[in-house]
Amino acid sequence: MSAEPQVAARRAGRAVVVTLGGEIDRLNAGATRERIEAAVDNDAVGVVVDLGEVSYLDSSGVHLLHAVARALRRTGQRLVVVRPRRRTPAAVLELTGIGEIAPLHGDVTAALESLVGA
Amino acid sequence: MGELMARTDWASTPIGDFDTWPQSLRTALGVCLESRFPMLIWWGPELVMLYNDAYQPILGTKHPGAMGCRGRDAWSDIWPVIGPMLETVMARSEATWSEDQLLLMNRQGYEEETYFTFSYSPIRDESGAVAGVFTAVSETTGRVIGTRRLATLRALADARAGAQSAVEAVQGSVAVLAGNPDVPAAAIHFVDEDGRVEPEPAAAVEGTPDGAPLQAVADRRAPLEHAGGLVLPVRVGSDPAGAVLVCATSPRRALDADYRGFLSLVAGEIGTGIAVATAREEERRRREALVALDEAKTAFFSNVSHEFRTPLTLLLGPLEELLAGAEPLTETQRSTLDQVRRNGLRMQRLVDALLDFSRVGSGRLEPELRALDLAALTSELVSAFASAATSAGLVLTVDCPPLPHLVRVDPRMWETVVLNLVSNALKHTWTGTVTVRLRAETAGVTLTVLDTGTGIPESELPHLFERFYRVSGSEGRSSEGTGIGLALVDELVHLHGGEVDVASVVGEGSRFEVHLPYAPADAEPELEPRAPDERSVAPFLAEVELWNAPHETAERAAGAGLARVLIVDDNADMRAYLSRLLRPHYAVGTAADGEQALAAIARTPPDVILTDVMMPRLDGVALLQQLRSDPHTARLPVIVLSARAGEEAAIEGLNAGADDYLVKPFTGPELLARVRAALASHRTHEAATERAVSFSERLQELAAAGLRIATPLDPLAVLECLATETLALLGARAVSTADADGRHASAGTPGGDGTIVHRLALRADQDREVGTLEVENAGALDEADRAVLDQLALLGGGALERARLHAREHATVELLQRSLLPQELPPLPGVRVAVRYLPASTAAEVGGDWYDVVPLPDDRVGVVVGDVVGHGLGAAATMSHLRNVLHAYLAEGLPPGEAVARMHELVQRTGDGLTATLCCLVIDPARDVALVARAGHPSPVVIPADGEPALLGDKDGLSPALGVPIAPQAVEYELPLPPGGTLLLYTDGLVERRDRELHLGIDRLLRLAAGADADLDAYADDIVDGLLGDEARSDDVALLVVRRTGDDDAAWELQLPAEAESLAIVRAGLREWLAGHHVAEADVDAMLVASNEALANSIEHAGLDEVQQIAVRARIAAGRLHVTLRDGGRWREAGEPGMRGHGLALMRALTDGVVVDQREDGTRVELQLRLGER
Repeated sequence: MSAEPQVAARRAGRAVVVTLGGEIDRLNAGATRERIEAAVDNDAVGVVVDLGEVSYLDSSGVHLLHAVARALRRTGQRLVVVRPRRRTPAAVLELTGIGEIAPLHGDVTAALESLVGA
Repeated sequence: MGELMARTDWASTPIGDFDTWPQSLRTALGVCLESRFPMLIWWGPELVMLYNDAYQPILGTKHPGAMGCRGRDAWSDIWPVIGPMLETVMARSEATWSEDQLLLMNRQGYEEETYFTFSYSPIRDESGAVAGVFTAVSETTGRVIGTRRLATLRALADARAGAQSAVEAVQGSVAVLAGNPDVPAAAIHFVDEDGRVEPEPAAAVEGTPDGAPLQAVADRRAPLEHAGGLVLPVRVGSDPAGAVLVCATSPRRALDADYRGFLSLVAGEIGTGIAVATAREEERRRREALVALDEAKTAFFSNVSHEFRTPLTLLLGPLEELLAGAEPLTETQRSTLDQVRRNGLRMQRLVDALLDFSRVGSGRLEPELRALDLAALTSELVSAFASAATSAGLVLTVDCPPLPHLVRVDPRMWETVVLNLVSNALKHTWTGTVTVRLRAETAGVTLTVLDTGTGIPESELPHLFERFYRVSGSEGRSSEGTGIGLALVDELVHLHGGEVDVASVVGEGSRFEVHLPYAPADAEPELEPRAPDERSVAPFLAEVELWNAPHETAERAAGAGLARVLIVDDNADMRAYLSRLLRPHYAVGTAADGEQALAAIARTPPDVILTDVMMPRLDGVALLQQLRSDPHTARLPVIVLSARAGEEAAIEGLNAGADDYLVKPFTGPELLARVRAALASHRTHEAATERAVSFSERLQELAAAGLRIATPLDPLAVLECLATETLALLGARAVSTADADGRHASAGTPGGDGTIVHRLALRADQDREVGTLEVENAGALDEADRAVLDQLALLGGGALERARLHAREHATVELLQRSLLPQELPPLPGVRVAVRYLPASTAAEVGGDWYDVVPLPDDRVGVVVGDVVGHGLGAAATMSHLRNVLHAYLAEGLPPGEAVARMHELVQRTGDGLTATLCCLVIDPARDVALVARAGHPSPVVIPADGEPALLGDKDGLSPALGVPIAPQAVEYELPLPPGGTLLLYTDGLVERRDRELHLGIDRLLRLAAGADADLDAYADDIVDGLLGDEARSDDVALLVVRRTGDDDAAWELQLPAEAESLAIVRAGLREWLAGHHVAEADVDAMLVASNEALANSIEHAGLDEVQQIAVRARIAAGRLHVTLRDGGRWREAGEPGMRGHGLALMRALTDGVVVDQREDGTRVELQLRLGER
């Protein structure tokens, strides 16, 4: 386990897609947040944070999403989240009410549509 | 406390600044603050308070304000009590001591009932004057209230002893509760079968809160608070809410866990009381029904006997007149009439005996005691048998010298006793003597009847005096007998306050002894010696005479095949001719003269004799005369053949007693016709005699069958027995029986030509049908058969009802027993337990075995197994009482030795002859030991993790059984019990069997125990199967398997630094460990997230200081996964992120329990998860 998070960002039209992987906990949550925020260009309408491959997520992961959402709101950008495929991280997201700050989608395509197609 | 002392502005208090305090105060204060006991100093005239740490809990919310405060201000609530006491100490310099002093103090926001034991002693200043008061105090509230509650629970158990109904039981319970201030008012409502609470209480104390949510409590089966009280469901038997208890609670006690626990124990005791009383009521109804049935049986015998008496009297009276009368009788007539008379008297005796017996049975036969000369009466009675004994070739010795005292007996009953014993002796003695001896002893007289007869096998002796018992295969003079005589003797002698003994050796003889007490020394003779009543002696005599002359005709009739004809003629040609004529139809024998004929008849009696008149040595007429004079042959048909024609010859022949007369020459068909006629007429005559005999035999058979039918305790067995007996008694083709519950039985082979089915109802009483009896018979039943069948149906109905009641009782006792044992064992840390309880196979033996598992503070566990001597409802009730009390003792914190000593005291005080054994142990996982105390109970088997099974030493923790009068003292044994160790606790039913010695059972248990299985349930099953198999159990069996589960096999622990890197390490380690224990993935995931949140929080707290260690511990026990985290950090107040945010929400959402325990030295978080529910 290292403090380095697994983060990959790409441009998808007017949006940015950030794909996270592995386990996200207190150890790497701070670094992950910096990497996401760095990946968001000023001209993007918003960010899709893809948690599909995340195998573990704890409350610091939830905090990091809250923090990203707050930061994006200040610049008029939006956050959309792709739900983890694994049951436990998905349950953690739902139990902590992530839906209130960012819409949840089953895959990247649907997430991008909701962001760009709107 | 030092800090508080330092912070306090002493200058503003009446005792002034710290620097000004005298040395005496400083010294006293030093002692006070150093002590770990609650201590307090009242200083100066204002009694300013200074106290130590240990005193702080006593103050409650008064701390810290009370420090340096004037006593009357801080303790204004109790000042009226303690103020004067303190003043006394100050004024008179006298120390005081108060024990369990009641103080109503307000320290928790309400006026609270508290108890204290404390001493006040004066503190002198440097001048020698009293300047303060030193107080050592301990709060005894818990003990005083605990003792009071325990006493109430005991009283509740005691109170139900006499309750005869559920209502009485609850009234008794409420009366007990009224005496305890913890239950200022109470009401009990029954719940009906549909689950509706009766609005009116069955018992209540005034002041019970109205409008309690009765129905809600009954429905939810859980307690609810209401109007300053508690409403609880009451478990009755298997019904979790058979009643509802409404309790007002004391406003002076907090309704805490102890209080609630006490009230739930109260509800438990009340429920037990209701169950026991209901069962007792049921048992009483059953007993009453049994008494009624027994009365019905007695009435039946009585009626039958009466019905026979009248016709018998009308039969015997005229007969006596005829025999004694003026009309001359022929020898044949006399002999025939004698035979009728003998059998009539025999029947009279049987009927009289039955009647006497039914009177004794119903308690209606009161002896009319008269002081009299017993020797004279007895020798008179026995002398009556003298000539009968002589003719039987026996010597009858009467040895009855005068006695020094009178004896009080009922003369008629004494006659019955003596006549039965003497005729019995004569009946079973072929050669030798019968001696009747009457002797004076110190306390009374002994009648001995001694014979040299066939003797009685030892195995039969215990049953000899049972009603209708007949010694099988006895070689007496007659196989006839009622099986009543000796039973009647026994009953009659007991009515006189005496006893009957018997000793016998087969082939040598028997000795019966009757012991009777003397009349008081000053008694006057109330009756002149007199001759015995002819009417009582005659039937016995007649019977003895009958044995001496057995009628062989009946036996011969039983022989199968052709009728036998004996031809007596001196002419061989004539013999050959007659033989030729008769041989195709009869078995023919021949004799050449009268003497040869008598010899042949003695060897094989024929059915008909054909005799010539003129023969050598003994002619036909002389032969006839001899035959007629011998009772064996008196009625043998004889046809006289004569060559002499004419009336005279015929008259001579007939006068000599011939049945028919045939003049030679005669034709073949004529002869055959005469022989056939003689046989037919003889058979008719014979049959009439036999019917009279068979009727009395039938009566005996019926009585014996009735007893056999009434014996089984199982309804099906009654039905089977009834079918078999009916088949045998009626000689029917087939019989089938059934009861109202669908049980049925049959005997014989149904079907066949001309079958008629007779169907009768079996009734428990006049209008309640409990079953049916169907008889298939070839043809119609005659009147006698019909009467027998009616009686069988009557007997069967009664027996069936009795068996059904019995079966119901078995179910009741078993249900009660099971309901009194713990339904499920609580989850226990550090210990696993498997229990097996098997009730005995028969109702009479169920009950008495019990066990209990009591979770105690600090992860200790109490385990108890016990056995109350005795069975049935009584034992079950006692068992419940003992269990509740011991449970309370253990819960109170008593070590097992002391708890068992108290049980000794309790049973000796209230046990009323009760005996019980028990084995009680408390397992302390923290010390790896079990404390064992036993009262007369077999040793538990100890199986160390890697050792052989063994028993404790004979004296280890053993005291005598409860109920043995000893001075109770605490006896206790400390048994090492590290993890992996196993204990077997059991009751003796597991190892004890009637056909096996106890030590063999224990050896076997030790062998079976050696195969200690990781699966406790399989292990327990193997032990029970190995010892008991499928056999019927004559006793209850309880087995508890207790295993210490160690930290090794069910716990995981890790120490790691409080750094974020640790999170993933813990997740990986925990995941691996849980997978190894087959925890479901959903449970693993949930616990990983929850424990990660807890750990993250710990890391956050700890991270402020230098790097600290965090201990993570996981264990699985009783289906629960516990994860505990300890750190050295401080709890974060609200508002901080982490625990108070999503972390805590996640922990709560994903687990079944989160406990955060913050102490000065760190924080402990415990997470709990019920496994297999996600």
